[in-house]
Order: sequence, then structure tokens, then C-alpha cells
Amino acid sequence: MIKDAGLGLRRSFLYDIYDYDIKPNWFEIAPENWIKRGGPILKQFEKIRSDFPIACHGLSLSIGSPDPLDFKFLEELKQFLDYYQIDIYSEHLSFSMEGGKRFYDLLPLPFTKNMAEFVSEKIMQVQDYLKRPLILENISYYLTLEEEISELEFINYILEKTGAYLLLDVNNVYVNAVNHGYDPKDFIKNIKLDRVKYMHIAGHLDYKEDLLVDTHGEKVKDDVWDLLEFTLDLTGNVPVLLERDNNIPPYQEILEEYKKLESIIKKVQEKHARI
Amino acid sequence: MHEFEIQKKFAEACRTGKLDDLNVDKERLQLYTEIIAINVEDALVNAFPILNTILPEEVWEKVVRDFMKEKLTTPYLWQLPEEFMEYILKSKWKNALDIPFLEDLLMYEWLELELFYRNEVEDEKVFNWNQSFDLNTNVEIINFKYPVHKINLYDYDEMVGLKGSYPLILYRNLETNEIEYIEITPFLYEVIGLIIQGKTPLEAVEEIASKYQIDYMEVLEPLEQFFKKLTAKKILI
Repeated sequence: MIKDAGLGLRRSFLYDIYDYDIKPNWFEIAPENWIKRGGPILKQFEKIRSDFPIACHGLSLSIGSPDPLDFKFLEELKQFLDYYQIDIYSEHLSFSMEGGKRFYDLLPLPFTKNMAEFVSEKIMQVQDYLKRPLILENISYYLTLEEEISELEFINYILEKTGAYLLLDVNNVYVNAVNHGYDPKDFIKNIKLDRVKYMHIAGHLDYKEDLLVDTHGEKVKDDVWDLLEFTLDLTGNVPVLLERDNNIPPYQEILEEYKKLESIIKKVQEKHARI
Repeated sequence: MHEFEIQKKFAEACRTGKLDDLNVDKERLQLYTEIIAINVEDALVNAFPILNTILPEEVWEKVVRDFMKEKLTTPYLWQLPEEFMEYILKSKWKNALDIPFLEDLLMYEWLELELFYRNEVEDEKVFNWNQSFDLNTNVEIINFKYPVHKINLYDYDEMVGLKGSYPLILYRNLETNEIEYIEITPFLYEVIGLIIQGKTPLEAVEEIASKYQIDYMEVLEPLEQFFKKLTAKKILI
């Protein structure tokens, strides 16, 4: 069971987490980095798995791809989730494969009714196969391929149609709001908050005045912390995960940010307890 | 669905860096092509740092760009270097790169990475001449044509001039988790080859000693020390 603050588990601090008094409540991993792997690293992961709740956050499902679902991959994924008894599996509302070739990056989908229907069908297939609800993340994106309906309508339609949950990435909302000129708070107020299973927070790069890049390679910006607090105020007690994928500092520094996340969650919880 | 056509054009632009087919902000499209190329290149440079150093930058970039156009099929980024290795060895680049020790170098660099992530069998077997043994799963036995495992000792021309036979046991040391190698003779390479196929050490030594016209009785004692070292390190199990 994941609750309150969690941390994205990274190889660079895999052996550090037992050395500090502060321990994250839960960790998130990318299953693709662990499936079919072994050796000392896997042993350490198994120790961590036995001590902490783990959520899986996938990268290669490519749910919006024009290609059919990769059932060989899904089979390996299901075996992994079942073996480690991991119930929480999230992915991205995006595509990362076309014509059988992958990108190892998350590409935006055309925001059309057809695409929303097409993706919904595939989500339901995946949910049936994995015997788990899918939790889908709103990705950051730098260009709009087509916008027959808004991103917000696109996401809400899919959540409604499929029964899938939302992994609300607050940093992505902020990045997209700057990149595409909308109000992040309006977006959050109008997304299906009752479907939010957990949230992400991460750092981004100020690439240009009107273009932010979702690098996960810097500290979380103050505006994003504020947006998280605003969101938690609306969602109530939803778990939040701190992500750091690039330019990873010493673990102690990551823990400082983690403590900040904990303090914001606690502040909102205390406020809600009073009202 | 016309959306598929848009996705296809977008995907093609991301792969090739050719941005003209899509009616979107070119600067932002360029950002995608750069991010994707960096992701792929980082994975490959980390896996093949020596090949990356040997190849001129513009050649490396061409190989990577061709690879991106034609492959990238695995859902696991960690498997991408193996796909890259197979791509190079089956494409025009194998000859075009004109590196005599290319195949050995690719294999050595890939195994250095891959062996680290292999599970091992943990039980130790006591050596016995009449028992069957197998290689542990964290071990590879390999016969290189060039001494690529010592590439830091030679410059390019020296390496090319050292064409020969370099049998090795390559393994993850189970105490340190470092990837290490043991250089072996062609004789031992063949003996171990037979052991892996199911012969006992004694049968294997008899057979190969006969091939090399050696009295096998004379080599048993030094070989026993060697095999005991391999079982102690859980290389032979």
C-alpha cells in the first residue's frame, strides 16, 4: 500500500537507502529496468522490495501507438508484477513506438475523439490482460500534433471510458501550461481528480522563456511545489512521488527534497484535519 | 485513421531528423529529435566506450543514426547495446568501419556490461576428475582473434598486428562483483569446451591431450590446481 511521500528508486542510490534514518514510505521503479535482469543489483532490489511498498511505472507500453500491443512484452511485465506482488502499475498516455521501432521517449498523441476511442480500447485490453487497473500519467509535451478536443477533454474522456486511474504529474501540468499557454490551476481543477491514484513531482529545465523541458534533472521549482500544494488541497490525501532521473545528486541531497515533499503533504493533511 | 499518418510522420521526423513533412513548430520538433538521439546515444556510449573513442565522431553519429532508422525494437533500453552490436555485424557497417577487431571489441564491451547482470548458481562443487561440471551462468568462455581485453595496452596498429588466438574465461567475480578474465591456453579452451559438452575433466583432458600429442598423465597435476581454482571461484559448477 503506497501512502504519503515516495521516491523513485534509482541505481545510483540503491545501496544508500539503509544508511540514513529517513526512509521513504515507498519506492517506484521502471519495470523495464528490472525485467530479465539478475546479479547483485537484483538481489538488492529484492531486499528493498521485501522492506518497502513498490509501485511500477512503465516506459515501454506505448499505449497510443498505431502498432498493436506488444503481448510478448506484456507477458514479461505481468510475470514480473505477479512475481514481486506489485499491484500498482502506471504508464504514460503517449506513444513510444511506431512501426515496431521504439524511441525510449514519450511522444504526445493527437488530441482527437478517434484517438481517445482507439487508446481507450487498448487500455481496456491491457487491463484485462494484466488483471490490474492501468494508471495513466499526463505526459509533458512540446508540440501539439492535432487538437480536435483539448488535452483535458482527451484525458477525462479516456479515464471515464476505461475506468483507468490517473497518475497526475504536477510538474508536467506546469511545464505544459507554460509551453502551451494555459492556466495550470484551471487544468487541475477540471481534471478528474476523483480518479487520481497518485501524483508525481519533479524538476524541469527552463529551456526558453516559453519552453520548459521536463528533464527530471534538477530540483523541483518553487512554482511546482506551490502547484502541488494547491492540488493536494483539492485531492486530499493522495500519495506523491518525487522523481529524479538525470543529473542525480548524492542521496543525502535527494533526501532533503524528499523531506520538503513530506512537509508539504503533512501541512496539507494538518490543514484538512482542522476543517 | 488519419491520426496514424500524423503519428507516422512525427515518428519518422524523430528518427531521421528530417523535419519538413510535418506542419508543426520546427524548433520544438527538433527538440524531440535531439532528446531521442541523446537517449539512444547515451545508452550506446556507456556500453561501447572504446568503440566510441576509436571511431571518428562523424562516423559514430552516422552509425547511430542508421541504427535508429532501422532498429530500436527492444522494449528494454538495457538490451539496446546488444541490438546495436548485432546491427553493426549484420549491416554494411561491419565492412565499412574497417576495424579488423570490431567483432571482438563489440563482444567484449557488451559482455563486460551484461555479465554484471547475470544471476549465478551459488553452490560450490568440489573438484573431482570423474564428475561432470558446467560453466556457471555468470561466466563466458570465449576465443578472441585480437587481445581486445587488453586494449588499453596497445594502440590501434599494434592491436591489428596482434591477430592470433586469445582464449579467455570472462566472469563476474562473486566476491567483488567486478568483471574479470583469466587467460587460458588453446589447449585448456578445448578441454573446457568438452567439459561443457558433458565430458568429465579426465575424459576431456585425455581427448585433447591426445590431439596435442601430450602425455595426459603429465599434465593432470598442474591442471588439477587450475580446475580447483575454477571450482573455488564457482566458475565451474
